[in-house]
Amino acid sequence: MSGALGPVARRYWFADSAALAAIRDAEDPPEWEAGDLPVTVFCLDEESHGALRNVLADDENVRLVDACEPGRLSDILAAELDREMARHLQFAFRAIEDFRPALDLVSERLQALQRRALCTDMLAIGPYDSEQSAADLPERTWIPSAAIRDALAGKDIADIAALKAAVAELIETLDCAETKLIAGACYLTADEIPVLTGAEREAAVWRARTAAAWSEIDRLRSEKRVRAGREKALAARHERDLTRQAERSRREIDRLHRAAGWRGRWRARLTRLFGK
Amino acid sequence: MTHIAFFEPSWVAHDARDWEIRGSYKYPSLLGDLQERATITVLMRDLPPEDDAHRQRLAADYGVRFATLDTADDAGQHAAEALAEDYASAIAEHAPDIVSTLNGRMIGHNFALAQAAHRAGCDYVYRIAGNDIATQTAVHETAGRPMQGTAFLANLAAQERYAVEVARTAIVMGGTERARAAELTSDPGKIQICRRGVDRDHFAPPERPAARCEKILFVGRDSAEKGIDLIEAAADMLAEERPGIGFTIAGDFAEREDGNRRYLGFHDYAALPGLYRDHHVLLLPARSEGFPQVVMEAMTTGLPAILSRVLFSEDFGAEDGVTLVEYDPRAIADAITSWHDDPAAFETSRRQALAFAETHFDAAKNSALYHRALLGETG
Repeated sequence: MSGALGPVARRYWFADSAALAAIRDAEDPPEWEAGDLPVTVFCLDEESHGALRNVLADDENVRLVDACEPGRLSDILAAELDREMARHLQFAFRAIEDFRPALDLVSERLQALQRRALCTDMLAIGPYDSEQSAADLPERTWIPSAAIRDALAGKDIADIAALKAAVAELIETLDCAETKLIAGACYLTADEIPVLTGAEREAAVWRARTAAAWSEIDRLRSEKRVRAGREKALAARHERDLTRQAERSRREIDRLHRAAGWRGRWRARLTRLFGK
Repeated sequence: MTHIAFFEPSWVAHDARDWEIRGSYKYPSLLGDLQERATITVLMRDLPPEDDAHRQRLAADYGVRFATLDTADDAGQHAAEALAEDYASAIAEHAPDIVSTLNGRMIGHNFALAQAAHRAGCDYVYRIAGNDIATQTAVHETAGRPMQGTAFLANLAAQERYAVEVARTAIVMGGTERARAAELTSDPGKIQICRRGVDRDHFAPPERPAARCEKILFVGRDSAEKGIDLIEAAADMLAEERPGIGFTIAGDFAEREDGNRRYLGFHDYAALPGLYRDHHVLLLPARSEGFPQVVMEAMTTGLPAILSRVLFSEDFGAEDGVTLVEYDPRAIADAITSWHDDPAAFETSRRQALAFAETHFDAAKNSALYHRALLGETG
């Protein structure tokens, strides 16, 4: 997402080991370029905190918050909301793969919306497939920061379940502008998807791996086309340079010829015939 | 004057037929008298030679200025950003007010064009020539590539939504496509039906129409989404049940005969009316289409049609000279039999098809609609 979104919107991602496992287990997730949406990551357990600190420590758009200590979520969240400058917030309880072009449009819409919420579409990524998401994922909604502050004020958010419930309750009351843009895809965690076993699981794994292999073939074909295009462009430039060089030489010979004049040309011819 | 730039498929030396269809028929019928209201640039990666007859006619009679597009022309999922940059460079160079496509193009191209237009702040008109996702699904799955539930399909869906959202106007070919496109945008009011239409003089019906329905015609590419497998299965059923009925499958096929089926190769624009006049019914049980030109041409020539219900239920009612069928060879065979066994009903359907075509498929009327939509004129 463009830098312009910085003061406009931010994602609050409540990350835990299950979210990281969902990313790791996806066989064929969309390969979308990461956006630059500012994200505050609330690490809910030691595993996620350690892993994300290693991966995201140098990312300017990401702020890591240690929320591992039980019972402290309410205070930590209140402190973050107090210092929040973004006008809209997305509460993400799953890892998200952003579809950057759509997210840029979302940013533009949010700037125009001022204090209204905006609802987008999101896909759901499972270990073996990507599907249209259920309508009730909270990640679809960009919530005005003021509304979330008001909704959580004075509430004791004991744990992540309480926070999910409070956010869901708030979203139902919001005046939401709708867009059909697919802004990204959520990685569903293991407890949100039906468990496949035996031959059914085997078939799903191989289907996903086949799809990913085709996708890799697409990537290689595109690379080959780009390389061929570059080579073609280089060849065309080389050809153009040779033509220009020949044209320059011809002009130089013409110039010398003209500079020698009528007398000079005849003197040269006579010299060739009779010697000096 | 408004400047419109159309981003078109490259001219390809070894595919003369593709350029012939576009240059001699498709582009002229879409452009019509547009040059009176807009300057027109057609951009392609490779242009047809300057002495090409279609290129010269498009330049002289339709005011088309041709320009080269510097691009690899790759609309694959991993090349979208590069393609958008190529289109953005072309938009910066030619500074059009409106960008669009004349030829129906795959989602990747439209996504890239939408991105480039949005960045440049010019109007983008999305001409949705059909359900590209359904077409790609049919084609890829036939080739053994999984589609449903894949990241590839998810990416296409996201790209299509983006392109429709960015478009100032989305042009579709029929009611079913309008209903589908309405699900893709928060502003269905931007979707307009503009068909290419048919020159009714060229596709005039035969002077003495057939009294009985015996010769069934399919016209189209040999592609997985066209439902040729269903036609062949229905033909097999009728080979014994109604031996007097014959099927012609015309398009890009190797010419041959197989029982009650005859396969034909390409028919150019001049030869098409003769092909239609020589048959009695159009059969098109396609799984994915916009609003095919062959349906308009055939009905204008006086052929009632048997079409897939899923694709055409929003376009035709019970008295429009069309029988809608499921993707089922038995249903197709029964629809043919009912017209074959009842000449009076067949004649009624033939007249209904002609009347519907006269009202809805006239090229001049449709061209005016298309130009208004393209230029963003309301009313």
